[in-house]
Amino acid sequence: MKSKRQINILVLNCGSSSLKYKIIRMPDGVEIVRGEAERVGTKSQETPVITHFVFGKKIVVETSLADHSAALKKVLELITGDVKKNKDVRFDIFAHRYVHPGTFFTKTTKVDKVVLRKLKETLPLAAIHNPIIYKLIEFCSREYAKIGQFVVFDTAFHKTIPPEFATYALPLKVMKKYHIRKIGFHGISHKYVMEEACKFLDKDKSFQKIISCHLGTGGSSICAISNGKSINNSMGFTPLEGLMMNTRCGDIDPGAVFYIMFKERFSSEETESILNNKSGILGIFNSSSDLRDVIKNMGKDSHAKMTFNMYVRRVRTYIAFYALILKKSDILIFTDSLGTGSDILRESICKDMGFLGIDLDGEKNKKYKNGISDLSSPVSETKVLVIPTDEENMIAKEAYKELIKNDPGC
Amino acid sequence: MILVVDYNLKELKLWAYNAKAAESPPSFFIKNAEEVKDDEALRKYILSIAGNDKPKAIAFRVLFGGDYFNKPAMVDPEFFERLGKLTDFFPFYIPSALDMLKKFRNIFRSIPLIVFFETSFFLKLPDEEKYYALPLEYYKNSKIKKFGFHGIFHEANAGIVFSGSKTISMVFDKQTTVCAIHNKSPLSISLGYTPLEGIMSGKACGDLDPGIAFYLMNVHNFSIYEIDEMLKNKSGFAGLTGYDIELKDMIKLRGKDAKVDLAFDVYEAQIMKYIGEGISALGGLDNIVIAGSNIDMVTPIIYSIIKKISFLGINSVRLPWDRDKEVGSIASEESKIKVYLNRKSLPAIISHNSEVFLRDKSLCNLQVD
Amino acid sequence: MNKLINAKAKGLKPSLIKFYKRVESFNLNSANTGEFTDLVAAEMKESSFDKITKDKAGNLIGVIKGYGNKDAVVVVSHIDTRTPNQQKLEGFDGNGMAGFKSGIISSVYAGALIKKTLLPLDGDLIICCVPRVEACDFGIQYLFDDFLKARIKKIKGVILCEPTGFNINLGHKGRMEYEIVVKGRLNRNFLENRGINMLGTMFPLINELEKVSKELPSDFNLGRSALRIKDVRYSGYQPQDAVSEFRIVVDRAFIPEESESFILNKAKTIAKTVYRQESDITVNALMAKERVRTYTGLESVSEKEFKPWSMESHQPFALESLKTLTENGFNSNFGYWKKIVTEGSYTYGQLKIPTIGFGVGLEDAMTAGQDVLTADKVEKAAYGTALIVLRNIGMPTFGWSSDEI
Repeated sequence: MKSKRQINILVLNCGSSSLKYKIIRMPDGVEIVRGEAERVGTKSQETPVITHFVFGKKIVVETSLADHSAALKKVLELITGDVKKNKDVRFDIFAHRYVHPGTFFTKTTKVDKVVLRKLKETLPLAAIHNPIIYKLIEFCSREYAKIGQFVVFDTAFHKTIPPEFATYALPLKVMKKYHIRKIGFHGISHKYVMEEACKFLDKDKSFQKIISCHLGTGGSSICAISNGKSINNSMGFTPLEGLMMNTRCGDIDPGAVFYIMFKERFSSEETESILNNKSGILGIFNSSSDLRDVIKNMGKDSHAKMTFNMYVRRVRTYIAFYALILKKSDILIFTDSLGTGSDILRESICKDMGFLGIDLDGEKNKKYKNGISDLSSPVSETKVLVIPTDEENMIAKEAYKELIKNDPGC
Repeated sequence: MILVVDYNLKELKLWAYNAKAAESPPSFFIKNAEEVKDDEALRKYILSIAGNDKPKAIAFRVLFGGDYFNKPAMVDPEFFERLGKLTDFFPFYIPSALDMLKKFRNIFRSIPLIVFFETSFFLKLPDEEKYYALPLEYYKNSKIKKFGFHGIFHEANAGIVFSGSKTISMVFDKQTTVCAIHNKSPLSISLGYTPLEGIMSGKACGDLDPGIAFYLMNVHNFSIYEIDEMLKNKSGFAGLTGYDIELKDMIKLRGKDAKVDLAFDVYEAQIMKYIGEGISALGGLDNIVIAGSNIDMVTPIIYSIIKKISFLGINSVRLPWDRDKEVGSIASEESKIKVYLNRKSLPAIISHNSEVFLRDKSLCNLQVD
Repeated sequence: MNKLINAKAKGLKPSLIKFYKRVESFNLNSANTGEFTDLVAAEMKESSFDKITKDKAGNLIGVIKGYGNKDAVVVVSHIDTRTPNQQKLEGFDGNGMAGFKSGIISSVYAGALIKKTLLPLDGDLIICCVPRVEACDFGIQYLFDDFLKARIKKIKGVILCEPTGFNINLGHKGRMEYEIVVKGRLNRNFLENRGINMLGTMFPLINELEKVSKELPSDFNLGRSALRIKDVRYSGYQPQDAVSEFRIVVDRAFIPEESESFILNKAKTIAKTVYRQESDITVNALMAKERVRTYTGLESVSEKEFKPWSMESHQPFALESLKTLTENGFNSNFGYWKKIVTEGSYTYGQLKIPTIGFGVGLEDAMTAGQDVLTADKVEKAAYGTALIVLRNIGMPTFGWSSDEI
């Protein structure tokens, strides 16, 4: 009955400053192409670069990347070049990670004109992320009209956050009218690392208490997971809440924001843009929005030290908060570029956290290079793991599931 | 006798503390500060509680001391100028407080007038806690940072425990605040520049995704003033329940009304976040000290929170708790983490601090930043 | 903050009522205007305004100092200096210049309220009572030429305390008085069948003006222009025998698209056309002028003209003012006066300083003498005016509420 026809899925995953992409062959999950355009449209000490792998063969292209559409154009050029050399590199469908669908979408969806129109209505919900992705989806349906597109949502995993953590202390009427609640983000990544962690430790996820730290150069969030379900996420109704991020301020006194708006005579749009695009690491450190640049400069630059301390402090706050609501955690996961990329960051985050059961092994931490690894000391109650996230893999799985459901014959 | 004054724009409260008689000193509450028409009217109120006993000092609580007042201050002509400069930070409070302070100054020209600030304690916050992750230029223009609140209570709580220990101090008053203290210095405080950050209260929202404010302003055309009004006057317990009742009546509905239950759940969750922040800043926990005029009212909430975090090493004492002791333990002898209720009232603390001040003024000399 | 203002407003109520009664019972006329301004000045003093002064034109000025050196808001109310009888006779439509004492009370009490709440302002609040002499805007002109001259560039906006029914009014038609002067000796053949006296020679022109008055242009916001012949005067009896002169005095309401010179030229053209066959006459159209003498003794000659003005509703001063009212329970909207004229003719029509009107009562009721204002309504107007001032130049308090400290 079921055809075993292979489907190649080009997964597109936009961060606010990056475009990750992969061609994944389903159902076997073989990765044919992967790559990442980094520092898209940001101010950084290094030039934007696309790192492109075809069957593991690496090409690095340094180029200017004004925005995500430009990055995708460049990537599609690279892929077209690859297809000429090897027909297996082709792709059959697009799958996008979509950040903030509001209440319009709750599951993976195939794109058509109606969906596109509905997606457009969600743009104001995440004025930073949604338009970037939406433009890409629009671009694809214009330039590659014959190729099917699926959207996978980053918020679905957080549907299970209970009312006491999902509710803001605002007037009930206002929250109902405007559908305001903690929505939470990075769900695809948190779900992926949760599953990988349980696989790695050979545990049943239905009995694990997990704190997942997705610390990236785009955004950062922490998720409390209890028995396979998200119960809290540091991001809120929008990705602005929670941790300090590369250009986002994270938790802040709205009263302070109002004062700045008033004193500087900024419009609310200008202020929102400042809090999203010019604050966070960039706001304090000033010369880069990348924490890795901050870490390099910590010895000589007092702003760098302060930036690092502020970043670490906010991560620790949420880890401790989630450790309190989980009554200690079984697993603490570090993922994404900063989570996997900086031993100093992990060490600072885990320092003196023994009373919450978290004890990092200094040696293991320093030696960590790549892949999944357990960095906890023998006495640590909590397993401290580093797991490179693979949102694209998760997205391909979700898109394939939906494709098969819609069209079992394919 | 020390005359303690607490003025919050609406009410004016006066207490006459005598060094010998500790408990419930004569006091006078003026519900509507409008009634204090002139200095003469004020003098009459004071006489009614102090009698002919001339105060040896007047201690005045001021809510905000900016960057300048890092210690209690003696009022002199320069003081008024200094405090006036903070108007910009707290426009609807500072001019009013100045006005009231001047009334007291006019009546008692020869008696020391000492001002205690709710924010002084927090000037020692570490930089990473003090500043928001905003572009530094805006800090330079507007001096906006965390100033905290309830410094008088938190500092008193710090005085109860061994200073080298790691302490979470909680205050349950009109505002609820959580502060981490080590070596008599604060490491974290829940309330930020305004009460829109931190823990929800009767009508203010507490922690909020700032993105919500922008979403409502940009997409649904709320003005900054409407948003502000909603966040500070229509949110919190009143917003979540829709009931315009006092907290003491609200708490009676716990377990009987789903909206009220949710409101208290959200309240506890917000407190938990700041306990989390505090213990992560401390890197451990030895004591919890709880103060504030609402302790008795919110005892079930305190109990519930202590229960939730008891896995850290707390053996708490069952309810009902002893209400007699000024400072009572609510954890058992063998509890790894000690938990205390500090029932000393704010005016009592201020009166005590004034005595200390009068003995050793060097403790209170201003240091100019 | 608004709760605080509300609470303070209640505290002020008894003194407001006292002042209200005193003002209402004051039988104002040109002889006692000085006494009246003294009464208002005393109230300003009672409310601890920072500075109270009177200029040579008799404008009473009360200042509440701001903390910063930012732009000021000027609140203008007017004092009519004529007796009620005169009011009925003078002015456009016979009643355009009704007295508006409520404006004086609400402006002074808006200031008192701000002073009482101790809510700090970034710039100064300048509250002015401007005597209006003989339907001329001489008073307001003098105010800006003298007291406000140095700070004219540092005014955020002007609030006119005039009847708007708690709306924010943004303008009105202009009003001018001109005279058509026809001088000379008439041709014998002129209009034989009507008789040849002075009155008869004027009829054709009057007739023509009546016709014109039916075809005047209209403005979407301000309404239709209007023309009314107010008076006719003549000298001499036999226009064909000797050089004689007649004048038609025209009261004209006009919209911004008609300029004064356009109107005067048009009047002249009409007269010329009517008497086109007459070779021996001159025709002229002139703005009416009046010698004004303020109660302080200052004399001047002033043209009888109020410029039309109409401010854009998206002007921030207007927009913020309306917002603060609607956010605080006022059922307000933008509006325009249909009948009365205001000092806005000068502040916006001439100086282009953002200007709005806000006050209690409706202009119809006011002009018809059906002033059924109560102290409650005047208090509400004072509260609204204070809100507008605070929104535009107040230091806002975000985050803290008076309930929670």
